[in-house]
Amino acid sequence: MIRATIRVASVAIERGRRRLLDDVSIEIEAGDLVGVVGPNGAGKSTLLRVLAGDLIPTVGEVELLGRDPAKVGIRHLARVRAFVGPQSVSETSFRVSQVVAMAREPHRRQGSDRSTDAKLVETAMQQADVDHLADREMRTLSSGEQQRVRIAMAMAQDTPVLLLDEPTSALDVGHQESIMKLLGALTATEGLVVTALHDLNLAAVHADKLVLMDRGRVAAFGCPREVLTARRLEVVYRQPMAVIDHPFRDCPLVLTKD
Amino acid sequence: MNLRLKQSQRRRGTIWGLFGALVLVILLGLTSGSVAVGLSDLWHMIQFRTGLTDDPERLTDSVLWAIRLPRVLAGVVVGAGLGVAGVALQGTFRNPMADPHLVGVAPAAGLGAVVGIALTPVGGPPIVMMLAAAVGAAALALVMRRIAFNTLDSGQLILVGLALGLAFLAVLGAVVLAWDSPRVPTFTFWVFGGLSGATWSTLGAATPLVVVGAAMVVANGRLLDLLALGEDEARHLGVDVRRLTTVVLVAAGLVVGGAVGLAGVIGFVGLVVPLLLRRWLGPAHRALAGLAALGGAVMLVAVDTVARTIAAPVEIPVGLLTAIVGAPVFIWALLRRPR
Repeated sequence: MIRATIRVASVAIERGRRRLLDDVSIEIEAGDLVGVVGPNGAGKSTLLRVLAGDLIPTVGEVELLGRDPAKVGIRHLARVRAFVGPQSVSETSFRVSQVVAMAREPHRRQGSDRSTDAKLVETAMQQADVDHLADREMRTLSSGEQQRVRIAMAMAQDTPVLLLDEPTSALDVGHQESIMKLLGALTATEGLVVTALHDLNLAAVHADKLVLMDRGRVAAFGCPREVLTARRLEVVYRQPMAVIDHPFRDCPLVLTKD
Repeated sequence: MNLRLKQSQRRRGTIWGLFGALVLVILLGLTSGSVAVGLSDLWHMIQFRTGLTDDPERLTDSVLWAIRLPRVLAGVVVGAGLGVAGVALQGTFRNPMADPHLVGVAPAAGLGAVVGIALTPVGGPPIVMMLAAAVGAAALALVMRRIAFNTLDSGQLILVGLALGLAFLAVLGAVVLAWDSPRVPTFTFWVFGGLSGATWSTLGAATPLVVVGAAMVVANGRLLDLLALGEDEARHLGVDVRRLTTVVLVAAGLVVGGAVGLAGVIGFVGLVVPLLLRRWLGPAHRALAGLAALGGAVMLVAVDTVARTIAAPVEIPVGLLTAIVGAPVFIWALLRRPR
């Protein structure tokens, strides 16, 4: 597989007079699990949509595996990156196994045979812990279960780059951990994962690198210990904070203060 | 796996069941009516037409060949078309209540057809009228996409479609009444439909449109499945949503154009048939489109046979009967919609 890279150079996105992204530059290499954190409206989702090829920057350049995602064919793009959108409710009566199998569509007639597809779909459902829901209709699932189905789809899509917009927002603590570990395992095998996260501690524990966004700009980019300092978080979140060493893990622990 | 096996068995059973029902209603349609026709007469007509017999032509031969056969086959083509068009519109608008009548596509086809008649020289081929109907239908479907996507919820879509449809029928009615030419079918035909005017020539013009359109819908069924997950989700899986919906809506336009050109505006077939089949077999569009074609054909041939025999010698417009059968099913489905 080609070594996955993402390069964002001086990107700005303007909507009318508002700048959703302003002079954003980051480079990400395969093997990294990158967390995008920041307050509401800081531009986390916008950044992910730029990487996914959904939004074309007003200024600046984006490269996904060396090519501009907005200029790559949409079907080819779907073999390069998977995207798990923010929480949404599906009303479809397709069954979970059917929905996950649909993620193989971009690989149809691309040298992927049926048995490979079936195996990938089955593995993906086990990894996202939805295999026991295989025969259920999508619309009957809880929001957390639906979210896990969408993660299973992204796994089945089997792309070098995986982009996720708050994939754990509806998950219980146990599933939050298992999904983050799953993403970590992907990067261990040369995958590239970028995920927006609200929970700073989840990000601190699992991410190799963090992008801290603030009003459309990158406030900090680096490993969690560098990015998550009390002073910086207080400025960005406008909330008194303390950062201590995690008592059980080798990472910082963020706490709010009065 | 077990479930998938059960589903494919169920699907196969449904295909055979509907196929059997279709043969049955076709035979019933051919043999019922004011002139008594038996199966032996039908056999004689086939032999006579294929030159297998030297018997002289019987009265029943000409009744069957010139009147009943084109009418029954028109029922098959129109019913199948309406079923497929329903699946196509429901898939693109992601709305189980979108049907050719309710979203205004069929009335637009009717208006297009009248324009087409005006453009055709006297005694000209019916294909012009059919194509004009298809253009009207496809144009309205594309306009509906423009106003509907991301701005209307599923109820609003139907209301806008209904309002547009009523407006088109009003214009259509005004034109038909003002023009008052024997070349244009009556207002009743356009509003409630009718298969009595079907001839080999109109059938021959409509069938290719319906077949080509239906094939386009079936060919895109798998992508419509992805669209059911959502527009963004489909795009992220490599589906060009704009292209897909354009192709499917044009296909639906062809199908509805052929159906309306042949039989006027007939409601509820495109709604009820996919609705029931979806409940029974699940939402996968490819299978659904194929089966809705079969189911629509069965429904329309059956209803038309009833429409022309129940109050004989008076014939009830077929669209009235489909509404009487279809409206309760529609309301039942509305009330039973999940959530």
